[in-house]
Amino acid sequence: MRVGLLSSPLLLILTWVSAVAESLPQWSDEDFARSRRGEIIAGIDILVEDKEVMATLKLSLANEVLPSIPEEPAIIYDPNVVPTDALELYFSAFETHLIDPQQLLTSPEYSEQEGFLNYHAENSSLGIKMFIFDADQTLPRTHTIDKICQQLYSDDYLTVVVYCFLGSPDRTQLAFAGEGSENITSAKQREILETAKIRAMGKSEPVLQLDSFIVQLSISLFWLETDLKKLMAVIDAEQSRVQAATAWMSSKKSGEVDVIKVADGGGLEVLKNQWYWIMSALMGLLTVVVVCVLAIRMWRKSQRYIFPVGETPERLGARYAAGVGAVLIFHKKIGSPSKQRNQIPDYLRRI
Amino acid sequence: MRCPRCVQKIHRSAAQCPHCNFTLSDLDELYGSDEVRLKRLTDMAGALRLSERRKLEGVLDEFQLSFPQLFFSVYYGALEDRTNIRQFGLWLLNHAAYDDLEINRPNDGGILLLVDLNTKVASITFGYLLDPFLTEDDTFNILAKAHPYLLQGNHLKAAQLVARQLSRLLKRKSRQAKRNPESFVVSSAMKAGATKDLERIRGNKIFGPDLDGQTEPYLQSKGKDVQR
Repeated sequence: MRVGLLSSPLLLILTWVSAVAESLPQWSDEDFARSRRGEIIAGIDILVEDKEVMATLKLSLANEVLPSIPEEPAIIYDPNVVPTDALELYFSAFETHLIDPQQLLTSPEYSEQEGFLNYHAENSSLGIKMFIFDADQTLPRTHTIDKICQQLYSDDYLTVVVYCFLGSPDRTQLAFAGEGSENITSAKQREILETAKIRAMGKSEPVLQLDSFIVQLSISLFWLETDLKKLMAVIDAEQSRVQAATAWMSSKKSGEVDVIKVADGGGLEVLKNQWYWIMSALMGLLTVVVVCVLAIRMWRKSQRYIFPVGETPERLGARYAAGVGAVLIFHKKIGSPSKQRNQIPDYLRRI
Repeated sequence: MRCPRCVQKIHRSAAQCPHCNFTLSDLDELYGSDEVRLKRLTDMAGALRLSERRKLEGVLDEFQLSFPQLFFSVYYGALEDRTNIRQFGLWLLNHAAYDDLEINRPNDGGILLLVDLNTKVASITFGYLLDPFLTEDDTFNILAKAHPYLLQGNHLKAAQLVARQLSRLLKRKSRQAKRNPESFVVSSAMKAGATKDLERIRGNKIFGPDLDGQTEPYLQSKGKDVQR
């Protein structure tokens, strides 16, 4: 019974002693530093038994200059920066209006928005380039919207470039580039952008925001285009006048002046442009009508009307005429002629 | 057809009015049986100015251009109160010898607008040729249209309007006669009968085409000058 009581603590002590004895050696900080410097080689005491060899080896190791191992630069992945390979794809796509190489939109969403932009482009001479980025993504300084406009679209026809951050419509950027962009004031650009942003922010879903933004942008661009055409028409007309005046001053014939064709600015403008031809056509038509009327009148005048000679026997002893027509009294007392339709003999009238 | 005296309807071939026994010889006793030398436009009452007369003569010329068989004459007179304008018009058209008309336009193709400025009455009389084409109603409607001008004393306008309305009506009737000639019995008997009298009245002049081809040889055989 006593042996049984003492055996349990004894077993515990034995187990602890054996565990301590069998545990691996621990690296101290100093040993780790020496190992890094090459002053010690791990396990050399076990592998080399001869003390002289050991001493020689240690000496050679101490004198050997080990090549320094370059430290690898830490690869830092930032999800908020647009990847470089994606940037190349963004700014090499010239065909499409909606550019989304990161495939932030699903295929149906992309097709729908691209379809609308194509529809707008069919009815407009103003190009749209819409780049889609993620909500928090940023672009490197080499790819700001102004630089992209200058590098890629400055020599093109008038194009509006839009950086659209999906889910963050307030971050949307817009700029105009190309021919005639200098005529669009910054205030007008801001107005277009703000209107579209407000429209987009009315929606909660990022795709719906994009849809609203594009629709409003399309509307604003239509009116902008109309205004620009009117402006161009005025400028062209002014240029034409200046050119005519210059020609006149230099004693040129007015017929030699190159009149610049005024741009189309609506139905009224078309009428104004074609005024000469419309007037000519009207005058021609009027002439034809007058000639026709005169010809008809002349033809009618030249017509001769022949009557068949009726076999009317002489009556009342009259040789040429016994046809007594109507008699009408035109005295004011008598009144309207309708009262005289029933002819009566004069002697009855006198009564 | 009505009698010019009693205004009763009579037959187209009546030698005298069955109601009042009227014949033209009654009027001959009253106004004379000789021909009366007239112009197409006779203004005995001084109703028109010289310029107005020239205008009206132009209208009469136009009428004659359109109707080679017809003529339109206007007589402005100041007749006595007792004169019956119907009878006077009938007598005048039967006795008028128009100096300014071609021989190929006999009086039976004539239309006479007679305006009496004294009693303020206007009438239309027409020859046998127009019997099938003009009715009393037609002539009344034409005169009624001219009534306002007659009231105003604008006799030129009134005569122009009567001439134009008559011209329009007769053109229509002529086209109808051309389309439907069966409605009109064609005979040259009347015209031939009248030619001898015309030759006597206007034997010295031929202004227009010789319709029947007989007048010119006849005149030449009589030693008359033929003017064209």
